[in-house]
Order: sequence, then structure tokens, then C-alpha cells
Amino acid sequence: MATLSNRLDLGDTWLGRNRSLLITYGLIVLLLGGMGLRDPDFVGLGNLRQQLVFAAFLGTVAAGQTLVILTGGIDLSVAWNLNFAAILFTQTIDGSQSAGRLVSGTALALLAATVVGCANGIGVAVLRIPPLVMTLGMNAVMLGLTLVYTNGSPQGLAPAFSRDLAIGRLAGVPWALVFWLVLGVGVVFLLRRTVFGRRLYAVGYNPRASYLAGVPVRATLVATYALGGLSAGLAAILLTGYSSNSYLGMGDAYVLQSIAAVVIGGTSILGGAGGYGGTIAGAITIVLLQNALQVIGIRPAGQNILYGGIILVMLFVYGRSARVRE
Amino acid sequence: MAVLAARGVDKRFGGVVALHGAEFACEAGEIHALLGENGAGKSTMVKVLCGVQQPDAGEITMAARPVTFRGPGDAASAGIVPVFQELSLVPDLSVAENLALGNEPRNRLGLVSGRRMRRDAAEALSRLGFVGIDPGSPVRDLPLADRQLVEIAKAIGRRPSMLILDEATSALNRREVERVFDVVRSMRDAGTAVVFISHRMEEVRELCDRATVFRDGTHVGTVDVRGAPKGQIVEMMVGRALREVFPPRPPRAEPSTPLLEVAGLTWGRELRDVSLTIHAGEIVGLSGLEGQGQGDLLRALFGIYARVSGTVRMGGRPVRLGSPRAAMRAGLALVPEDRKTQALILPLPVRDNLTLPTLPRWSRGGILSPSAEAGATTAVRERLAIKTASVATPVRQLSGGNQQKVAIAKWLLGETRVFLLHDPTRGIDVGAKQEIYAVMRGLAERGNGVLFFSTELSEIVGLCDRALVMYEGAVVQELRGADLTETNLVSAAVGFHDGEAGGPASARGPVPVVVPAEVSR
Repeated sequence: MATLSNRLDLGDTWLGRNRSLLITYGLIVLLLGGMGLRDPDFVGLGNLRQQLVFAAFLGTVAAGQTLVILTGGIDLSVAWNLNFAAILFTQTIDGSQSAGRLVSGTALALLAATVVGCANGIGVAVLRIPPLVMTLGMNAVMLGLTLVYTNGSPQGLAPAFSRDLAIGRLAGVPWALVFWLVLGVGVVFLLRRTVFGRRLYAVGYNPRASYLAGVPVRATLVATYALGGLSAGLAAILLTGYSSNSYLGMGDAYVLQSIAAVVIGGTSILGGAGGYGGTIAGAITIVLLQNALQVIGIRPAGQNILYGGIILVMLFVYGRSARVRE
Repeated sequence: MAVLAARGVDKRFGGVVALHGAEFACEAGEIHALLGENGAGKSTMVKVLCGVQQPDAGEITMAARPVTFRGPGDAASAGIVPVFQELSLVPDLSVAENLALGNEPRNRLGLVSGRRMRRDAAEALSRLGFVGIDPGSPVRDLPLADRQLVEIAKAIGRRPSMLILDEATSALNRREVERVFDVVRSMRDAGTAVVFISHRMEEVRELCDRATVFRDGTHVGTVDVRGAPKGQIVEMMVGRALREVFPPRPPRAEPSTPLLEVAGLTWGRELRDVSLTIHAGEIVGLSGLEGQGQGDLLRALFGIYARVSGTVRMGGRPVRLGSPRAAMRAGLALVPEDRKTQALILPLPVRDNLTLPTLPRWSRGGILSPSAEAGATTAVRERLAIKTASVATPVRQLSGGNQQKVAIAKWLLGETRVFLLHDPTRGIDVGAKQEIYAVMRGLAERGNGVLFFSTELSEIVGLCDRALVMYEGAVVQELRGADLTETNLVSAAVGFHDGEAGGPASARGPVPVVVPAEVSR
């Protein structure tokens, strides 16, 4: 084992630093190659385009999840935060084309999601509740609020603009992909080139040293969780557009999948290391994997077992390497 | 005959040669110093001796029989027990639980007996003379010095035939060091082989019988410590003669403007009515036994503690120190005790570490300007001569001395006027220490004030313009000019200060050392 890892020790070369990214992209190629041999339609333009749109939905939730996990936290509240925002969105707008309703519905949905994220951040940073507990509790609160607000049956229709965003195309390219590209550039810029991004990594690696260097640790954490909420809100608008309405449980799948996308993308679950580039690959991997499992004929139960298994394997692999490096 | 000997040891890490043909042997009943600058290979040699690293080539013998240690467990069962600088205690367990770890006493029901464990621990600690440590308190709550004592007690409890102390006294004050030395000497007299590694030359001189010096991955020679002329060992270490250890002190200038004025600073029982003034251009030393409030004073001034009373003025203006951020804005900077966990974010590049406190300066509207940042970091890197391949190198890869320079340099990018330095030369090698001294003198010469806490008396005497001695949370004496001597510092530190007869009624007074029976057998 020791000699093997010595031989594979790429150290500080580009390959060494980005090994997890390479593994993930390799997995994508493997999935495409293997499935393509079995079923040429799988790698056809139509299917790939559709799968990338699904990856865009997941990638949007996972954008916030990436930021939160980089601080060493986790956001389990995305499911019902997303769902509540989606319902606010469709019930306020209800298919209307009036500018006032569109603006107020969109603003309300995004604001609500951001406020929920903010509350998560305050719980974690100020009240010092562990992120796992805080966001899990928040998820339950949002579930309850949603049931009270909808009386159990959500109403309303998504407006045309969100339907276009989710299923429309621009010169053959889905709008959802254009949106994801813009979002991706924005998140990478935020992490690499802004004061906030620098502080985020610093706090994720070592909150104590950051505090002693005068970094506003609490404000950074609260802002991060707020952005996590906002990304759930954006995903809510995309998803209502895709299904034309909102329904109970529409966010459920995204908790595990968004965490999986981040972890498979090589971001350390301990915080401080990683980035959104990996998460994009992770989201595509998950969506393709899910698609492949469907094509092969594995039922949702089996799919869940596989996601869970993959996350655990990835945690084992990355957790180990992180400890070895310390 | 040597208890343990290594011959022709090679060890490489990737492309770096850590040891090449290195030799070392330690005999029963001697205290043998292993010396060398950081990177000379002594730590690697220790790791090879105690099975943490496997040598690429070479032979290790115990009592002339070749042995192979596949891991630290093998070495431990052969009686080789190391105490490292990085502490191995479990922070959430109590002192007693840590001492008993792996060998817990059972009661009649087969359950761990907490009472017996605490009693055994109390006995072991008092036998060693490590008093004032509560066996029931979690290790997390102990000051660094006490943790190190517990670590040593734990190692001795394993009845080693060879004890390796690798920088194990670095956090201890003079009196605690004496206590450890007494224990180590009795172990030697009982036939134990002791390997001692320390950056404090006085300690080596005082304690050790022989010394083996390492340089550039191999042994330079072994000398009889008492027979060696004063400069010889250091010369062997650095390969050149060291002349001036401390930078020259400028002649005492006119009383300049006060920068930092502290009056009546009090925090719980830890700080009692501390008043002091730091002027522009001076280095003020903080001395005294470890744990007398020096660290708390620095932290309180940097705004880390809540409910601190008293007044603090910077440049004549009162400041409220509610947080490190506020202290930073007022012109204060803290270089904290632990470089690796508090001062730096190890995996991040040198650049990110340097600019972390001052990011808004190198950005517009929250967006960083790479050119502004590069300009600032390049300038400060040159000014302090920080040795690194690039500012994009993770700070983890720098040597200890250069890491410490980064920890200081990041405050040069802001509007710092007063530097609070907590033992900045701990655990770095002789050459790097001198560079840090020069950096500190440079800060003062540029009109800053420096408040400097060190556990090494020679640093206080050699570097500072004056010194404040703390005892039980209060400043008990100020020494300057010809009065600033090691003798005066020591007598003030143990409580023989102005107008007070007799020593302090300290809980840590001298206690006769009783060698544990199992050691002296």
C-alpha cells in the first residue's frame, strides 16, 4: 500500500492537485463510453442535451451547497426551502403575464429562500448550532410551513418565462444551460476573485486563524448560508418551469444529490478545499449515472442505494487523502 | 554498549534527501543531545529511531543486534518511547484518562475505575514533581506547558529503556524545565538512555553529557558537551561562526511619543490591574514564569476576550477592544502563540495568508485586484527576505522561520503601529531566530512599538529595550538598562520583587523529586 501510494504520489503537480477532478471526468467518459456501446441513443444529441438540462437544475442547487460545504458546513434544508419558494412562486404568479405579478412572485420566492438561508447562517455562526442539526431542523420547519401555507395542495401555474428558462432553447442550446454557464462563471469568479471568496476558503480551512487575522467570520458564514438559500430559490424557479407547476416533495431528491455532486466534485467535506468546477462535473456524473441506471432498468430504490454508496466511497477516498496530507 | 545505534541511514522524501549515511548511537545511562538546524535531518533520524519512518538504507541495532521497526508499536515494545513537540494527548479526555490510555485500571465489575485512575495519575504526577495539575481536568483546558508535562509523564509511565524528548520542553518555563531535568537525570542515573532535542542551547549545555550534531542530512560529529568550547557546537550546526547574536540596540533616544497606553487592565483572575506604556521605536519584553498572564495580556489587548475592564489608548485616543477586527483597526497586531493553528492557514498560498487581514485594500467593490495584491506581497516578501519559491506556494511548505516571517509580514500590509508577539521564535532554528530578531528591531526602528513575550530569558535580555515581569496576572517589576539581566529577571519572576520579602505562596513551589520506583529499579 505504501509503495503503491508512493508511486502514485504526484505531489504538487497539476495532476496531483486536480486528481479528484480527473477521476470525476474520467467517470463521465466511462459512463458515456460504456452506455454508448450498449445503447447508441444514450450518447445521442437529444438525450445528452436533456441530461445536461437536468444537470443544470442539480448544478444550481449544488452551487449553494458547494459554498456551504467549503465553509465546513452542510445544508440539509434545500429540499423544503426549495419547495416553499417554488410554491410561493407559482401561487403568487399563477400563470399571469402582468409585470407586477411576475416581479413580485420572483422576488418573493428568491427573498424567502435567501431569508431561510440567512436564518441557517445565524443559527450556525452566532448561536453555534452544528450545521447538520440547524439545517435539518430548518428543513422540518419549512416542511411544516409549506403544509400550513398550501393546506396540503399547492396551487398555481408557472409563468412563461420560467418555462422558457427550463425547457426553451436559444439557437438549439437550452436556456437552462445558458443560465448554468452564467451561474457557473459567477460562482467561480466569486470564489477566486473576490474578497468574499478568499475569506470563505480561509474560514473553511481554519476559522480560528481567520478570526485572529481580523476576518469577519460570522458575517462570512451568514452570507454563505444566505447564498445557499438563494441558489435553492433559483432552482425552485427552474423546476417549476420544467413541470409548469409546483408540488409537494419536488425538492426532496436534491438534498442527497447536491451533496453528492459537491463531494464527487472533489470538494472536501471538511471545508476549505475544492471549488465549483468540480461540482459541475459531479452534477453531470450524478445525472448520467441516474440516466444509465434508468436505461439499464434499475428502480429508484436501487438508484438511492447507489448514490448513498457512492457518497460513502468518495468520502472514504477524499477523507483519507486529506488526513494523510495534514 | 549502545542501547540503540543507527548506521549508514538513508532516507528520501520524493526528491528531497532527508538523511544520507547518517549515524547516531546512544548508550545506557547517558543524556545525548541531537542537534542541528531545522532541516538538518534530526527529526527524521528520531522518526527512524522510533519506527515512525522506515529508512531506505542503513542498519539499526539494539544492544548490537540488528532490529527492524515496522511501526512505532514495534519500537515502543522494544522500550523506545518518544515525546514529540506535536502533542499526542486526547484533548477531550482528562489527564488521568490520558495517562492510563490503553492500560486502564478495572474495578471488580470489569468497568474502568475512574477513582483508581485519578489516584494513580495524582501519584505519578506528584512523584515526578509535576504539581498543580489536576488529574481530573480535561487536557483541553490545560495550558500548553501543563500538557507537555502530562505528555512527559505519560512517556515515563511506559518505563522506557530509551526516552526521546523531541522539543518536549519548548513550552515550559524555567522552573518546569528544571523539574523535568531532575526527572531525566534520575532516569539516566538509573540506566535509561535519553535522547534530548532542543533549540535552547543553554538547556543542552546544562543537561546533556554528549551531543551529536547533524547538518544537511548527516552527522557532523559527536562531542562531549562539557568539554566543548563555547562556540564549537553552534559552529558545527551552522557551519560558520556566529558573531553577533542579537541586533545592536540603538542608543536610548529621547522619550518619544507613547503609542500604546494601558491602564488598569483587568480580566477575571487572569489579569490584575495591568498598566503599561509602549513608545514608538521600542521593544518591550514580557517575562516571568509561563502562565502568569503574559499570553492573556496579549490576547486581551487584541480584543479576543470579553469583559475586560480598564482603559486602552492608542496614540492618545481611547479605543474599545471588542474584537480582533477592532484591535486591528486601532493599529494593533497579534502574532499568536501557535504558528500552525492560529497564525497561519497552512494549505493556503503565502499570498493569501499575507493579504488576509487587509483584503479590502487590494480590491475595489469586493473584487480583488491581482496586480495590487502582487505588488504588496512582493514588496513585503523582499523587505523581510521571506524565502519561498513563489507567493503562490502553500505556506505549509515554508520552513518554520519563514512561516513566522509570513505571520509577522501580514500585519505590515496594514496600518499596524504596535506588534504583540507571542513567543515568535519558539521551535525555529538558530539562524532563523536571528533573522526574526532583526525583523523585530527593524519594526521598532521604523517607529513601531513591539510588545514581546518570550520564554527565553536571553532573548529578553539581548533584544529588548526594557522588560516587564509578570507574576500571577500582574506586572510586578520593570527592568531596564543595566538592571536588565537574566538574574534579575529570574528573581523577579519567582516573586522576589520590589519591597516584598520572601517568595510567593505559589501552588507550584519546589517539591523534592522522588524517582518512580519502576524507573530506578
